[in-house]
Amino acid sequence: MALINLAAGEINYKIVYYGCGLGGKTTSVQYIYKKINPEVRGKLVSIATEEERTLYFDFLPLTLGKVRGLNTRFHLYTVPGQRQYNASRKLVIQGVDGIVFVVDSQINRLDDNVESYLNMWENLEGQGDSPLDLGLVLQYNKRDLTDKFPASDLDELLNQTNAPAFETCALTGEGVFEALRNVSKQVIARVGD
Amino acid sequence: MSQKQTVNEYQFKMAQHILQQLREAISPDYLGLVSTNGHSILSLASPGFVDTDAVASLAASSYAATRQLARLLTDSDFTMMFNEGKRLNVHIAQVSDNVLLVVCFRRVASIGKVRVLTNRAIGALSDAITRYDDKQGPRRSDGRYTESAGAAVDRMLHAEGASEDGTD
Repeated sequence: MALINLAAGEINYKIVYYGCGLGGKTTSVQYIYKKINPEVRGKLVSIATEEERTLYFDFLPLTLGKVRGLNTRFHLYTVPGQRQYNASRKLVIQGVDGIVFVVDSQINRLDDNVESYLNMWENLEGQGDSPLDLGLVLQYNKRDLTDKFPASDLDELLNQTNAPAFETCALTGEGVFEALRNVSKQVIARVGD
Repeated sequence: MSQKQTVNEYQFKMAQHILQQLREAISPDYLGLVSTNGHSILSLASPGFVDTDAVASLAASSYAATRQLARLLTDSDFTMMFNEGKRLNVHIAQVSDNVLLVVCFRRVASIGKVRVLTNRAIGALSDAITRYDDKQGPRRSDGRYTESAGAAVDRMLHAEGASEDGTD
């Protein structure tokens, strides 16, 4: 749910990186943090375990600057991907405007991807949202690895809504900005003028 | 179309006035109205206070987790959270369905006084927010916001510029 503060001239959007554990959500946000103009980024906050696995979320605020008199900001979050953290995922997606679903392209992760995708639908519907009403893009991540599904297969298996999909490598950043750009524009358009 | 939570001018000015009064009474390091989704609505902070966006996000998340825990354990809601630190205490309380008040204050301040005055402020804030709630809100721009914001996103995420400028 975008927060529009008319008196302060601000609008805030929430974008969540969703997907199975070790799929590249945190790496994507870390890449954005490292490579984006430092003037537009805030502090990257991570609530992680000692093994650096996401325990609750990562958080990165980005400031677009004044647009038609409104200071426009995006808050990027990740969810913890591991199965046992579903309660935390439900909390993180509260009020979400857009989702970047990060798919691990490796063949042996198919079941995890499908489970996570279904879990995303279930959690969104559980809070009264539908992915159809939100901004949504898919990142087919780890395209640098050899043992991976072709993007067309991933489309067939996971992209039930024909959302824009991007082949990415979060480690090198390939496709990461493009995916963020697309979902950002979707959420802006959905909230509207 | 996505849902939106709108803060109108009257709500904002009332909240500003109420928080300013509370600030004068308890001299906190930080006073913030925060949406339950983690967005900062209004904040009054001492010079040099840490990143208020991060505070808003963490406070809302922490509150949401505690409330969920309460529901799980006791089947009821907690309506406030209090954390005692070595130097600072943090008090988080629900103002309305979608809004929280976060108060960070030094340990030298009386906890009782802070709680009483904060609760009083919450009553006034809740009244201002719910009575003057305008869910639709007026149009916020001249109709070209979407187009202009899209162009600003392109500039922010301009691939070459971003990768060159932002490297740590």
